[in-house]
Amino acid sequence: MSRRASGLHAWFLQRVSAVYIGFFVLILLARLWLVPPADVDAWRQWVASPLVSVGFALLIPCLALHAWVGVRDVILDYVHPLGWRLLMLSLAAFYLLAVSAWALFALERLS
Amino acid sequence: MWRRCRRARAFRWENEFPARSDGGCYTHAMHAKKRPVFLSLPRIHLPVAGVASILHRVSGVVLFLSLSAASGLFSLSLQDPAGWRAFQAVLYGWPGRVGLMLVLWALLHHLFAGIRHLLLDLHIGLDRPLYRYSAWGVLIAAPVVALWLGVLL
Repeated sequence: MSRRASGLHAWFLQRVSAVYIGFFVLILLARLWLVPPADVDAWRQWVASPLVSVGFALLIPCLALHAWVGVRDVILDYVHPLGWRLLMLSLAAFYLLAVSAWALFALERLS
Repeated sequence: MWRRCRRARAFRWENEFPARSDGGCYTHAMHAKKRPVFLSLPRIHLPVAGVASILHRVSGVVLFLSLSAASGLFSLSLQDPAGWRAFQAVLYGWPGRVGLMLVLWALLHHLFAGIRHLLLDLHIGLDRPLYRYSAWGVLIAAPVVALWLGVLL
């Protein structure tokens, strides 16, 4: 991960994922504002529809990647002792993996 | 010409960082215990773009921390009718509403400042007046839209 997600490579990945996340969030907010889901079934049906579920399935790894590059930068900037740095980096990585798995399982249960 | 520059005390690297008598270099000095501190916080007036930039980082950390709540609530809302009701109870209770507003602000600030940074990467808006106005725009638009959405949703 560190070699792949460092320097220009990371910068590029962060920006590409940012564009996708930005569009997705704008569309999601607009849809929730214009047509608020009436009940569970309407909400579940909307999320389970092919386009939206694929959109979410793509959003989760993009978000994890984007957050990883950003949080890694923050930790490298402010945490200097090597032990603490490694601890914080691994905590952040595990947290992101756990959160992504949680959201993906919620999505997977629908189908 | 050269003399005039010297008399005017122009910035010269050697004057600011003279060679150290112990032969060490400044990079190492930064890791030593007696670390030179050049920052005087009360004397630093961060420009608007700097404020927008540091808040971009702060909002990113807020969003990172809110990811667990976000995926938990997402999962809860999709579970079953009981989960949906619990999700709505959280969303319409006042702690949930305050949390939602905060996360919405972080999301919108991160989004707007991110769009601004992407445009800057494309060399759009690099010049002074626009560079500042766009930073003000981000700083003002994020809380306004967050309040508006938080009341509406």
